[in-house]
Order: sequence, then structure tokens, then C-alpha cells
Amino acid sequence: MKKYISIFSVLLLMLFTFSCSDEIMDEIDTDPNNPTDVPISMLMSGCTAATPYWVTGTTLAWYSSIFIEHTTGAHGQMRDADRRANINSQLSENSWAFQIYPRLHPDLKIIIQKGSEGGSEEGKWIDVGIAKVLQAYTYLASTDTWGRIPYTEATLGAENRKPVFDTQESIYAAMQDLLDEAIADLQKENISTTGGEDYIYGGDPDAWITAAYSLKARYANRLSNIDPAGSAADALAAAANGFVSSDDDFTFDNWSNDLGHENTWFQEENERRHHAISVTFYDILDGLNDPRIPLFITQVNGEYVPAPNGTSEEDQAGTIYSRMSNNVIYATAPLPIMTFAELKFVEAECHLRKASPDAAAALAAYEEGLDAALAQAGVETVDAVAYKAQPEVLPTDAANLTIDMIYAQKYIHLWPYGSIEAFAEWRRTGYPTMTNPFETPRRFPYPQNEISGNAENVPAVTPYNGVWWDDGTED
Amino acid sequence: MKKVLSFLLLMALGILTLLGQAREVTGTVVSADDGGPLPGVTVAVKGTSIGAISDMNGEYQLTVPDNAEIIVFSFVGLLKQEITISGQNQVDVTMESDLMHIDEVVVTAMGIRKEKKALGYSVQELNESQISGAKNMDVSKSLQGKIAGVTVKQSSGMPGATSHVTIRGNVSLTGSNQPLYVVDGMPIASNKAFTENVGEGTNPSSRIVDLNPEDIESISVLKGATASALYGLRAANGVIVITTKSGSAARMAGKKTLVTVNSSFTSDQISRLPELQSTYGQGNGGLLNLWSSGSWGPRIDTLQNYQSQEENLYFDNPYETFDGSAPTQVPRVYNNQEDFFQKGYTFTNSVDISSASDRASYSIGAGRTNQKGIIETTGMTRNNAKFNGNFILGDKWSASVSANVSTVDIDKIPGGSNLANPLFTVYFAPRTYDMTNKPFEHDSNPYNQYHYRFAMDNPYWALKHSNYNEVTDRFFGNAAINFQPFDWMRINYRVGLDRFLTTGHEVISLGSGGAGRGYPEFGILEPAGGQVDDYTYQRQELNSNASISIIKDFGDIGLDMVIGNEFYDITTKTHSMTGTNITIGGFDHISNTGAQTVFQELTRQRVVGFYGSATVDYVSMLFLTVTGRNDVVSNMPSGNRSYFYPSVSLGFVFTELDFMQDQQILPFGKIRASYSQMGQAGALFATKTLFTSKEDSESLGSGFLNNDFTFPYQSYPAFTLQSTLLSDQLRPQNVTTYEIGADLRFYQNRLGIDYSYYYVNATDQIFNVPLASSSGFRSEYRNAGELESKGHEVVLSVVPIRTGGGFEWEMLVNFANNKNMVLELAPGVERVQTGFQNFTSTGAFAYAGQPYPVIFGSSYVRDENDRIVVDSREIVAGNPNPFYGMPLQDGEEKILGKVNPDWDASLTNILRFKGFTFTAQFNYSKGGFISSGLNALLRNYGADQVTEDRETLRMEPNAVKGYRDQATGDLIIEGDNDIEILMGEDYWSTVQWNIGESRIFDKTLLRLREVVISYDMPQRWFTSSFISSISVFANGRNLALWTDYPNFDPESSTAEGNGIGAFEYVSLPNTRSFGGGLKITF
Repeated sequence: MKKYISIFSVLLLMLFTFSCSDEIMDEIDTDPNNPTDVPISMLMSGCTAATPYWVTGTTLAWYSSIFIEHTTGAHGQMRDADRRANINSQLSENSWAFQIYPRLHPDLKIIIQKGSEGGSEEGKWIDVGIAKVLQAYTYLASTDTWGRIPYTEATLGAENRKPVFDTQESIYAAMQDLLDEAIADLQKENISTTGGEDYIYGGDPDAWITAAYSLKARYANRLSNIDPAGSAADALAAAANGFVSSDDDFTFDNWSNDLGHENTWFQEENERRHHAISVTFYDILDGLNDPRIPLFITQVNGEYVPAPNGTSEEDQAGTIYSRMSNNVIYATAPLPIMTFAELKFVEAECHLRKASPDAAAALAAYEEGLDAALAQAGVETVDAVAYKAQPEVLPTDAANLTIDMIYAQKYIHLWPYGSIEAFAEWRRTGYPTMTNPFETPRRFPYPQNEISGNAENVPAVTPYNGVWWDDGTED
Repeated sequence: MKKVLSFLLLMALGILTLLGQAREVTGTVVSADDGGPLPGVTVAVKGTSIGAISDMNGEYQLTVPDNAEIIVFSFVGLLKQEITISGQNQVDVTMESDLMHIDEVVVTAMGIRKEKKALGYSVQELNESQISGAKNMDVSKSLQGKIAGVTVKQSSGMPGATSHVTIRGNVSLTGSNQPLYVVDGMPIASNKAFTENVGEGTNPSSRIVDLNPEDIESISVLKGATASALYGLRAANGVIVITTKSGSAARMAGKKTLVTVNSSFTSDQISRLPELQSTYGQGNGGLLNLWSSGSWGPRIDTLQNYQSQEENLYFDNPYETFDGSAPTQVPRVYNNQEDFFQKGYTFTNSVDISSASDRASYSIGAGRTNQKGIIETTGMTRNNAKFNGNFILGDKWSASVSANVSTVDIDKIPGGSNLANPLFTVYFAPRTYDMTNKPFEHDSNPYNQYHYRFAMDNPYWALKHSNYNEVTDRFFGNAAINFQPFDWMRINYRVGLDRFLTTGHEVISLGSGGAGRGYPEFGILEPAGGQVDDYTYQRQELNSNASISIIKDFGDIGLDMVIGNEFYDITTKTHSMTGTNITIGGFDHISNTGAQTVFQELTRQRVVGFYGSATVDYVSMLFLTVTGRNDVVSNMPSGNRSYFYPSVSLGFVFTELDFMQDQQILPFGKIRASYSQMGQAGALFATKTLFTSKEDSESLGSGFLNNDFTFPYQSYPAFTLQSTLLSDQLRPQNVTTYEIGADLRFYQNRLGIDYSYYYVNATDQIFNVPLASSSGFRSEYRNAGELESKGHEVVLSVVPIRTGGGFEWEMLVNFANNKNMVLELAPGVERVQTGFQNFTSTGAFAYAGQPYPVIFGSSYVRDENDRIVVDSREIVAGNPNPFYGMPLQDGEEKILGKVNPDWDASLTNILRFKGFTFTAQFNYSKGGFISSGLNALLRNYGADQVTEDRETLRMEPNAVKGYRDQATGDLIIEGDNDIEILMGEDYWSTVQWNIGESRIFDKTLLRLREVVISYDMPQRWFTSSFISSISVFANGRNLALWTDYPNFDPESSTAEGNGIGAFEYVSLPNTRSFGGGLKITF
């Protein structure tokens, strides 16, 4: 009998020693699904798709489009936004708390660390430069959207769970420097090439350099209310190295017809159909006999029926109001982040504002911008010529070029994909005059996630307070 | 798998050769009541596994080893007898009824059978008729209302729908709170196997559905952590111990072989349909619009015939058709909801062959269940086969084998916020939209659908073209050998395997959704899109359990102890492939798709546990039990994997005291107390932050779009750093339980009260503590927080009437209240989401200092007297205020209600007369709130009856008027509300819809849950035939419901773990059932 008991005990002991040693348990606990490290190339693909998708092309863009009266909310959340029934922290939850901060910024930061001195892929300067451009664009677009945001203490993980919010002024300065760094990195000797994992420029460093200069110009110009002449000089200096034609546009042009890979606005229009054409936008085009009307806007029963902002009927089906045409909204439609045309409008404005204004240079830049914008919209040459023949569109005498002409053409050009830029520009310039009976927000509310987790640092502001470059009330 | 099987086979063969020396004892067993023979009595040699059964004439034959001293006679409901044999070969006994059930034996942890009176904690049992009487398809649903402290929340009445079981509230903030199921001594998988990673929005079944309720002999619920302490880490939520039939039926009937055939039929219908307005038609703003989702159109009585969808080729005038023919759509309301649901049915058949002899007893069962859901195309087919046998291999050796095989094939539909959920446009169909009789697809191309709503599919079209199928093939079973070297010692080794493979095939048809639909009306001819999703999920669990138990008396002191080792290894493999853009409609194969993505996930876990338990009793009066278990867990940090947990419990049968004996009022009374500690481990692979592929859940997405931008894209994969911060400092969460109770039986057991009070404190919760995203992470997986659960449970059994003529009325009452509180989350963290939330502005949260869970969301602005504030500003910014006189929405989100009821009670009446038994079970659940997406949507779309009165000027009742100053944020109150308004589209679809509080409803309900009437035909009717018994029955489930909850069934929920019952969003419906059947044995 004892024999059995001792055999049993030995078996038990064997089970113990073999089945639960730390080595065996460590092996069992090794995640077969997720690696501990990945090369830059596997992060770059995600980042060059995520930046246009999350920053330029989804939630922020759709709400901005309503605010800036490019479109009118005719259904669901967008109709509520148009009537200001849902201007709350939910607006920012997706973009801030799920996408930009926890997903995009950490990956961009890792690319920069890996490719820079001492990193595991030291010498991949093109990737470092690309990541810095995307990082700068994302922080600048974010501070335009929310005002003060975390930057210096952001994305430090366990080292800092409650980052401070930096002033917009400091972020603007830091991002201009970061773009300069990116330009320098993109010119350094690179150890290997970057290819299709860069969905934007296919790893072309020169294209990224012009994009960086163009962004520098856009964001320098934004400070016109803070330093009118200085901002103009900075913008013009940067623009000199920016895009030289529409072929250089900073655009995500890699959509396809596969489910989920279509242009984001196309998906929204097909699945949700929140947006109708805004009266504000239509009236500006109509007032100028703009040839882009039939290219941009659908008809209802043979007529253009734009929707009034703030008082539209519910119209998901699009049977009441005109909608965005499928010349503009289609599965593979490019999503511009910044265009040559916009850069020319920036230049035109700066020539008028600089210390010694130069109306002729302004007009030249303005016409170049206008031509590029009309061409991009697909306007036939004959129609473009007729359009430009109107003095309120293109004055023959440079002295008659007004700043509002530039604003108007930029506002039209930014429709519909440049809505976050148009929203910033309205706050800076006051163009156009809003027709929504409800007050227009001047920034997005902070998301609940940040308010809950970092209450001591979240600034106490309302969506109706201006940001620093808007009214200067906040630094 | 192969290795395990051959091992089992060898083991079984080896044992058969071991047999010993013996002689024969015979005799007759008779009843003390009437002197008649007693069949089915177990006759066993004490301290061995040798036994026999008395036959139809009460006679038995027993082979007894030479050294045997005592023979034990036992039978359920009779007092056990022990007879000392001193060489005689003839032993006759007379057995008396045990009215008190004092010697009742229950199954406890590790399958250890113990006398109930020895327990220091609460265990409640269910017998065969309680489990399968009402013919629930799902074992967990048959627990509903039958066990005090057990809560069963069902998602819906759809075939194979998930249910969620908790015992005594929740101890884990975000982890599983469901109990462990143990079948025939081995744990098996019972929960939803996978969640969001695979499939297209359909809800995977809980794997407890694989069990055939007809195979079950008894269920024993180990409620507290003390009861389940021996099972270690995975049993902190309690254990449900299931014993399947094993030949005891034959034994009870005194037959060698008994064949039982069960057959039943149930008809199912929807439990509740919404009440709708009938005055207004399709449209918005009072205008007819044939493409609107709303019923905010004109009065129906002002309409003339208009175009229907298939005629509506252009929009100029809905009263004219394109070709000039007369429009055919008659303006009236349609019963789209009622028409959509059909009568479902369930047909079950099972056969059980039960056999018992002195050397072996076994049961072989086979069953088939066919279920057709109340929604066309939904259904379930389940095939089961099982074997459970015990073999006596000699005077020291015995063996047992339990094996179950099942195939469960479920056709389902997606529920919840999925846009492919067909119920979305059924429930909210515009009142004048004729969905039932009009064509749903174009003649020219069936993948072009007709529908009023753009982004969503016509439900009839979706049922025809899209499909969602899930098939699970499963084997689970175990084999054990018992060796008894001494009559006081027993060595047991058991090895078990639970393995299943779920394969899913889900097709969202070509032409589905907004992006895929062709709109010939608008010149878009070709349907596009569509998706095929094929997945497999495989899970394998290997369990090994070795134990030595010792039972020995030392005079007045008895010792019952066990020590053992348990080991389990669980591996899972998930593979799925998703193809998008179907080319040929109806050819649902991955090769027919334009782009494919794949997903793979592998997991593995191992736990090795050592356990011991010792019970010491003093003259069967005082019972002290001490247990300990040490677990070593693979998925905890390296170097910190080993954890020890103790428990102690005490039972005191005070009626054994001298002065308490020989009195009739309280023949049995026991008080008990226990304490235990238990751990719970965290998730798998959760100790190190890694990079994760964007192939699936981490791909780009947007809160607005249906489909993610997936990778690899253009042949480039993408990875991202996980957005959860992980650390190697994790400890298991710690659950401390205290329990006291009493078990009192009065007047010959005519009145029994079993009372328990428990207090559970769970500290060091492991959960995703939210972080401000600007830190670079959304959350941090770590220990923090404290949860408490406490409550009273009363189980009352009363026999108000018991006559000599055979009439008996028995009442069973279960009462339980549970107070589940979140004492603390993490420093600075106020709330954590506990359940999935999508498309709703309200969610289920754990909120510090509040009951667990609560619903949190946007609310009304209220004054200090809690009255709703309506907007008093007639003009805003120079324009008329469209929301004048309507409730204001509070900018800040608030707690809107607790989810779980204050208390639950059930009352079961059982009437018995001759062969008739009538059972009726009522459930009452008091309090608890749900966020009802269905009701909110029904109002939003203007279909709900409450939206009917749109033309009477009315005031928001019980309200004050005022506004919030935009500059200062101050609330200005201007007195009682006297503003008369029209409560129409602006009121319901903009104002109320955006206020989460408007969709919160009390779930209090009284329900007639089950009714069973059965009749056992008198034996004399078929004495001359081979049939030994026939019983027929009629049953009903969910026959009646009394509740203030509007329109839908308050027990339907969009099921997602701990959030179940907190909210629903277009949940699938529940059912009401009637049926009957018969049971024949021969």
C-alpha cells in the first residue's frame, strides 16, 4: 500500500516541479500576437494614413464644416451641432482621446527616437523628418482646434500621467522650430530609402521639404492679429521655398474602392448623410456666378436648394436640400492637407499686409491661387476665363484687390475638405459672415477623458472663448 | 488530444484486472410505512465502493469481501441504515422515511459529497424536475428565480442568445463576474468564448448552451467564495456544480435497464410589442417625405393615395407616379412590427438508457433540439450525446468516465447598434410605410433593395440575403480512477478535457448598407459592397486533478480531509478572414471578394494549484472546516506568480444539544459562520506594453464610419504601440468573504428557513484605470480600487397543506437583496466604464461611492427641488427660440440610476395530488434602471404612442422655467412653468433625444416565469405492457408580465458582460412560450 502512496507522492512532486517553474510560466505568458518591438517602416505606414484620417478628414472636419457653414447639418449629430444642441465634450472624444494623443503621437515620437542619434535605426533621417512634419502639423491643427494643449509633457506615459497644457504661443514657436528641424533632417545623409509605407509622398524628401515650408507659411500667417507685418514677412520667407505647383500638394491620395479604404467624406455621405449644402456657402458662390456651383452642388427637382444653418429640416435622404456632388465626394477623391492654391492665397494676403505692401505681387499670387483652385475643381478654361473677367473676382488693377476677395476664394477653395483650416481662418479674419442664428463656437470643447483624468490642468474655457491668435485673450 | 485518449484507455484497461476475494450476502428491503418491497435501495459495504441495488421485489444480492463488517442501506428520502454483519449471509431491513432530510447529501467543491448539516456555508440544490421541467433550452436560464442570490440576465429570447449569471453580485469591476461551471467533477467553459474580435456584430452564445438540460440529474450552487475556495482563482464568483445522469434512474426504479424517452414541443412568440401612435404618417416637419425615417409627417386623415417606394422614381410630387398611373399607396397605418415576427417553436427529443448493477452503473443519452426563432431565418439545432458511467473494479478500485459530445448550430441576426440589425427599421418603420406587402428588392436586380432608409437595409431583404451562422462542435469529459487502500483513505485521479471549435460564417450581402446600395432612383444602378466573414475559434482546456482523502472517526471526533493537486492548461486559437466587396451576389465565398483581411490570435494560460481541506466534527454537532489553496498562475508577473488563500467555516447543529433533543417544534437547527480569502488573476499577456498590429481592432476608425481603414494596406502592414500602459507590478485581486447563516426546520419539515448574510470585500481590483490621453495612453492596467457586495438571502419552504388523501401544497420562496458598492476606484478616478457603449449617450459605469454599476449620462437641468427646468427664453440671439418651453439639457453628465434591483424574490407554488403536479413560479424584481435605446428611438422617430398628441398646447408637467446664463453659467429660475408648447418633433427628436436621462426607466417587474402541469399516469394502466411509466405535461414560460416599463420587455438587453441589464440599443426581443410533451420509461 505504501508503495502506491509513494508513487503518488512522487508523481505529485513531478507535476509541481515541471509544470510551474518560472521559466515555463514565462514561456506560456509570452504573447504570440504582439511583438515587443517593430521597425520604423511598420509605424510609418500607420502614421501617414492616420494623420490625414484623424486630423484632417473625419470628426473634426465634419463638425468644423458645420461651424464654418460650408455645410448644414441635415441629420443626426450634425443637425444637432448646427443647432448647438450637442456642443459638449463628446465632440472631441474620438479625435483627442482615442486617436491623436494615445495613438498617433506616441508612434511619431518612437519613429523620431529610433531614427535619430542613438536610436536603433539611427540614420533614417527621411523618416525622422517626415515624422516631425506630421507631428508639427498635428500639434498645430490641434492647438487651432482646442487652444492650449499638452505638448512639452505629453506622451510621457508612466513618467507623467497629468501633463500640463502649454500655451498656444509656445506651441506655435516650438512647431516652427520643429519644422525647421524636419527640413534639416530631410536633407541629411540617409541610410536607407523610404517607400510606399509613406502613403503621402512615397518617401520623397524634397516633397516633404516643400510641404514643411508651406506649413510654416500657413501657420506664420495665422498670427496676423498678433504681429501683422512680422507674420507676413515670416510667411513670405517660408512660402518662397514652398509648393511650386499643384503637383506638390500635401495630399492623401491613396484611397481605394475597398470597404473602409474609401475617402472618409464619401463614407460619411454614404452611410450617415449628415451634410447638406449651406446657404452661406451657396450665396457666396452664387454672388460671384461661380462656375464651380454645378461641379460642387447637386440639384433638387432641377434647382439649387441650400439648407439654412441652424434651422434646417431633417433631410437624411437629400430630397429637400442640395448636397455635395459626386464630382467632389467619391471613393478615391484626394484629401488635401495643404495645397499650392492655399499657399498662393496666403502669399497674396501677406503681400498686402507686409511692412511695405506690394499690391502687384499680391494680385499675381492671388491669380495663381485662383487658377490652381479652379483647375483643381475641374472648371473648364472657358468658364474660368468668364469667371475671372468679373472685376469682383479678379480686378484688373492691383489696387482694387481687396483682402475679402482673397478670403472668399480661400473659403471656397477649402470647401469641403479644408474645413478645419477654414474654421481657423474665419476666427482669424471674420470671413465669412455667419448666418446661423445660434452663436458659432470659436473652438472645440476638451474631451471628457482629459477632464476626468487631468482636471487640474485642463483650462477653464467655453467653446465660445477665442484662442490666443484669435482674440489674444488667452496666451 | 490523441495522447490523452490513449492514456484514458490504458488506465481503464489496467484497472479491470484488479479484482479480489469475496462471498455473497442476500436479503429483502421493505418500507416501514406499508411493509411493501422497496426497489432501488443502494446496498453497500461500508468503506468500500462495493454495492448493489434492490430489485423490483426489494431483493438484493451483494458480493462482500471476507473482511467486511458493516453494510449500509440508503435511499433518497429514507433514513440511512447501517447493519453490522457477523458472518450471516441473509440481511433483511425495514427502512423509515426521512421527513427531515437531515441526512441529505450535497455535492460540494471538488465533487466532495457532504452531509448538508456539516456545511459552514450556503449551498442550494436543484433537482431534475426543477431544471428541465419548463423545458428551457439553456441550463443557465433554468436557474432563473430558483436559487436565492443567483441572478440570470438574458440578452433576448433568440435561439442561442447569451445569458449572464452572477452569484451574490459582482466582485470584479471590469473582469468576469460569472461563476465556474463544473460538470461531473471537471470545470468546463461556459461563458461567451469570444467577443468583439470576430464576427459582424452578432452575439456569440454562452457556451453553457452546449449542455442538454435533459442530461442533468442535479445542480448544486456553491454561492460564496468559502464554498468554492478549493477551486482557487477561477472560482471567486462561485461555482455551479452539475451532475449528469449516471444510472441512478434505473437504480431508483429497481430495474437493470431503464429507457427514458422525453419529447416536448413549445411554441414561442414575441413577449411584447410596442404601442404606437396611429395619427401621423411618414415624414418630417408635418410634410410627407417618402424617404424619411420619421413618423413626423402629416395627419394620415389628410392624405390621399401616394407613391410607394417602387413607384417613386422622382420627387417632384409624391401624389403622381412617373408613368402617370394612379399612386397605389393607401394612407393608413401598417402593423409592420407585428407582421415581422412569426411564431417560433422548439422541438426536443431525448433518449436516456440507464443501467445499474452491483458492478457498474451508467447512463447513455442522446438528444436533439430543434428551435425556430420568432424571426424568420433564426434558429438553433443542437445534437447531444453523452455517457456517464461508474465501474467497480474490485474491492479497492473503481473508475468513472463521463463524456459529452455536442453540435450546436445557430442561425442568428446581429442586434444592438449594428446597422445590419434588421429590427432597427422594423421597430421604427414610419407608421404609413407598408413594409410587409411591398416588394423589398428590384425585379431587375435582387441586390438592389427598396427601403425608406438610406444607410440601413430593408429587414426582409437583409433576412433573405445576409446570413449569420455559428456552429460549435464540442467534446468534454473526464475519466477518474479511485483507489481505496484502507477503508478510511481514498486516492483519486481525474483527468478531463474540454475542447470545442466554433466556426462562423457571416455574410453581409452585396448591396447592403448605404455604401453598397444601388439607387436606380438616382441613376446609381449597380449594387456594391458586401462582406464575407469566416472565422474559427478553438479552445482547449486540459484539467488534471489528483487527491487523497481521509475519513476517520476517533470516538466522538470525526475527521474528513483531502489534499490534492490541480493543474489546468487553456489554449485558444482564433482565426478569421474577412473579405469585402462581393462581386457575384449570392456566392458567399471569400474568393468572390475584392479585398481580404485576416486576423489571428493565440492565447495560452496555465494554473497549477495545491489544495487541502480538513473537517473535524464533534458528535455530529460541531463541524469545523479549514481549507487552503496555493495557485501558481502563468499570466501574472514573473517571480510573483504564487498565491495562497485560506478559508475557515464552522457549523453548529444546536438541536443536537441534550436539552434540544426529543422536541417536535424545531427538530433541526444549525447556525453557521465562515470566512475566506480568494484571489482573481488579471487578463492574459498583461504585464508588458507591446506593439500591436493595426490589422483589426487597432485599425483606423471613426466614431461615425461603419468600416475601419484596415492594414496591411497596399501590402504594407502597420503596427502601433498599445494604448494601454501595462506593468510587471500586478498582484491578483483579493476577495475576502464573511458569511453567517442558519438552517431551521420546524414541525416535521413543514416549515424550513435557510438564512444567510454575506459580506464580500474585493480589493486590489485589476482594471484599466483611465488615464488622460495626453499621457500617450488611454488607460493603465493595474491594481486599484475596492468593491463591496453584501446581502441577505432567505430560502423558505412551507407545506401549508398535506392531507392523508395525497394532496400536498408546497411553497418555496427565495428572497435575496444585494448591495454592491464601489468603495474606491483609483486616486483621482471617479468612474470607469464597465460595459460596452456605442451609439448611446449613456453608459454603464463603476462610479466611486456608488452602487455597482450605475448608468451615467446627460441629464435634465433641475432646480433645487429636483424639478425639470424648461427654457424660458422666447428669443435667443434675436431669433425665435425653437426650444422655448422645453427641458434644458445639463452640460455636465450625471449618475442617472443604479442598474441592479434592490431585491429579487420568487414564489413557487407546487400542488400535488395523486399523479398531478402543478408548479407555478412567479418572479418579482424591485427597482433598478435601464437605459432604453428602443424607447428613445421610438420617440425620436415619432412612432411611440406618447408622441401622438402633437397638436394640443401643453405644459411640461412639474417643471419650472428658467435658463442658463451663457456668460456666467448661472442657472436663472423664473418661477413655475406656465409655458404651453406643442410636443412634437423638436420636443422629442431634438430635446428629449439628446438628454440621456429621458431614456432611463425603472425595470421593476412581476413575471409569471414558469408554469408546469404534469400528470404521472397510474402504473396499473400499463402493468401488462413493457412500459413502466408515462407522464405528460404542459408548460409555459414568461406567461404574464406586469411592469411600468414601456413598450418592450425590460429583460431584453444588448448583452456585453457586466453592462448587461444597464442599457440596450435595439436589443433583440424576448419570447413567451407554451407547450407540452411526454416522458415514457420502459
